[in-house]
Amino acid sequence: MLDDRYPLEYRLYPYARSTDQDAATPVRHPVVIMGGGPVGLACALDLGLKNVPVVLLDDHEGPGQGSRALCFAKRTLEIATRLGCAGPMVARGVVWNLGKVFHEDRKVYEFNLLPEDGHELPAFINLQQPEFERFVIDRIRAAQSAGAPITLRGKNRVEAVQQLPDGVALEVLTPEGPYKLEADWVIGCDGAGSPLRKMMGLGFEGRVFEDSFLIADIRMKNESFPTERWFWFEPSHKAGASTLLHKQPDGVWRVDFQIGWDVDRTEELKEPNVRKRLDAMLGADVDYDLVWTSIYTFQCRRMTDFRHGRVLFAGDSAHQVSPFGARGANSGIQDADNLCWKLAAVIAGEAPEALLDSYSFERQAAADENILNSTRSTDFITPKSEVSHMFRNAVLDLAEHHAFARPLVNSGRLSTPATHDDSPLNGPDAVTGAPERTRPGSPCADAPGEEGYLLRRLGGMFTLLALNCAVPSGADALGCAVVDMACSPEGALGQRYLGTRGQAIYLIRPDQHVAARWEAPTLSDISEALERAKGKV
Amino acid sequence: MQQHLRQMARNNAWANETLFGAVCALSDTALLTQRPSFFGTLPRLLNHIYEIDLYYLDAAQQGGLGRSVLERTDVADMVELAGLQAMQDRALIDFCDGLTAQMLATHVPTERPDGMTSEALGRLLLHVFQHQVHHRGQAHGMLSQAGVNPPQLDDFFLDYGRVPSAERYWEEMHDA
Repeated sequence: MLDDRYPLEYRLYPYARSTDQDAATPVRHPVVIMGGGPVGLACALDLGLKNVPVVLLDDHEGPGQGSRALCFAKRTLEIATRLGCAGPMVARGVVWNLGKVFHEDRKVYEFNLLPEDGHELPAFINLQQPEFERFVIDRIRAAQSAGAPITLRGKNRVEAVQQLPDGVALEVLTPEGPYKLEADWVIGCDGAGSPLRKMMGLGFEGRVFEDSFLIADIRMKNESFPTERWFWFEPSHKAGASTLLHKQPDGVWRVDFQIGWDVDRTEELKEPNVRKRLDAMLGADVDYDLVWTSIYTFQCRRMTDFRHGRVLFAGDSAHQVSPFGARGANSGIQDADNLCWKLAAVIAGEAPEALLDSYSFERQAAADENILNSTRSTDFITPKSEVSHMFRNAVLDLAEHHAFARPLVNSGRLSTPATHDDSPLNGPDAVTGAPERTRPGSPCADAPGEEGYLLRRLGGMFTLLALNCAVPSGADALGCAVVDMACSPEGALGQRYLGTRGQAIYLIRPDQHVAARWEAPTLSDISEALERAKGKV
Repeated sequence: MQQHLRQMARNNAWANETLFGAVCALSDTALLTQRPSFFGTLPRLLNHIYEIDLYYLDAAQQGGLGRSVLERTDVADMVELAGLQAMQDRALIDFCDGLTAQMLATHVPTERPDGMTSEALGRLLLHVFQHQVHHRGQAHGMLSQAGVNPPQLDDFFLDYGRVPSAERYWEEMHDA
């Protein structure tokens, strides 16, 4: 049967019979994506815009209910800008930069996530997950109208997979019965419980955290809070061992209570019990509606390898983290960003299949970094031994009085994009004295230029960024875009890319990560680095 | 004596956090520079203070760990060490707050390189505080050598000239 596993917020791709279901032999597609969450949709859009035919199979017909992922980071919005759907997200999302940390109701300190000027996009927006998904789907619809080869199939559940020598065979269940399908490549974006991973018998190693969290989305009627992230350790209201408060669009607030491991979920989710916690926190005279509630537990773990032959895993299916720090959906979107240009290059015959191994390599390292940060946050927020609890409280006390101790406070260190330091795709770092933050492997830092923000000018292909100089003659025939920009040493662009030097040329990948940089490269320096960045060396 | 030890434990916590405030502002190079002193570098000296605190508090609580607590790797990150030291200082305050006259007269076993001995608990605690003050003075000198203005580490007990950051410890004493 194909019953919904959760209620839908929007029914945006209702089941429709495909001609594939009537074909005598299974129809073959270049790419099949399993799962219509943020990561699957981003992959479909990215590949479609690169003119790679892609079929997305989802066992539901649109985004599910609940704010869920909620916090979308700057890097995600930069990727969405490249894909052409960031505008409505930023317009609708709640922009916030300020966080406050409390311990037993005393403010320990506050932090600004983006103390630096010269970025087009905010550090974070809060936007309900179904809204994020709807904006990606809107963009997919517009791209389809313009000819992008993207197909979304609702109520199509993959029941079996089999690796073929040069592809994957799939059995798909629909409300009108099963059909068979083949794909050159499959991307598994089917979430933390990934049926694809289970069908392939692949493991998922890591650590289970023994604590539960209750989320209540509420609409307040007669009160409000500022647009800030507030985190309480051991609040006096005792409604949770820790409590997190976040603003959402439409006057909705997320309250997140740490409620312990040994809880009766059904009992805790009953409205009077949820209200008891909220009233303890907000005071009895605050009037609110409950919009959505949920209890979650979590694990920090990842697959050993994100590529298995012709099957690639991205997002929660490949790695799972705690929600502290907003590392789930944000890292999944970075997976999509990393994978899609590589897969498109392989399919177009411009790069060897080995390029896809670099996807696995780079994003495994990113997942490890996320898991480490997420684990540390979790250990700090939910200390499980007396000693770690004492350490936590000593640090909070110290941080209240001494700025130097604040880096030790970890209420969910917020997601920043990974730098692929040891990537096999990285070329030379040949600009002495250039800033660390833009070394090979780094995601490009945005900065304003005379003709608009840098990241907008990079687009989504290999780009040579020439700062205060010209590219060597013949470089424009290498198949890269060339972007010339002038910058002063004092400006944001100069500070982020030149440091103490007067000029530089950066080779930038389609996912806007730096591949190599030089002060004055020869044509062969550049073409060698380009070959390496395409996985040919 | 209990009251005095409770005050010393707070003085210790305050002086350590004040000292770490200056130490954590130093560059890695300044921290790792060898300076004329018994321990050579600030990180080694501060790790020594910390580990001796671990050793004596364990002995005071008769935790039985003995010299095994000294088998550790120095914490290189001074901010992390500041957090660990603050936790240790809080544990020492809590221990001193629970002292009785009878406890102070008891003897507790102490493991030495040449075997087990024992010490009167009251004098063992006095020695802990003496040890800390002795070494913090050395850190103070090393900060001067590093070219930074070392913080005052002794304006805690008197009403005259008491620094504002010490006040919360006195308030806490009176609340307790």
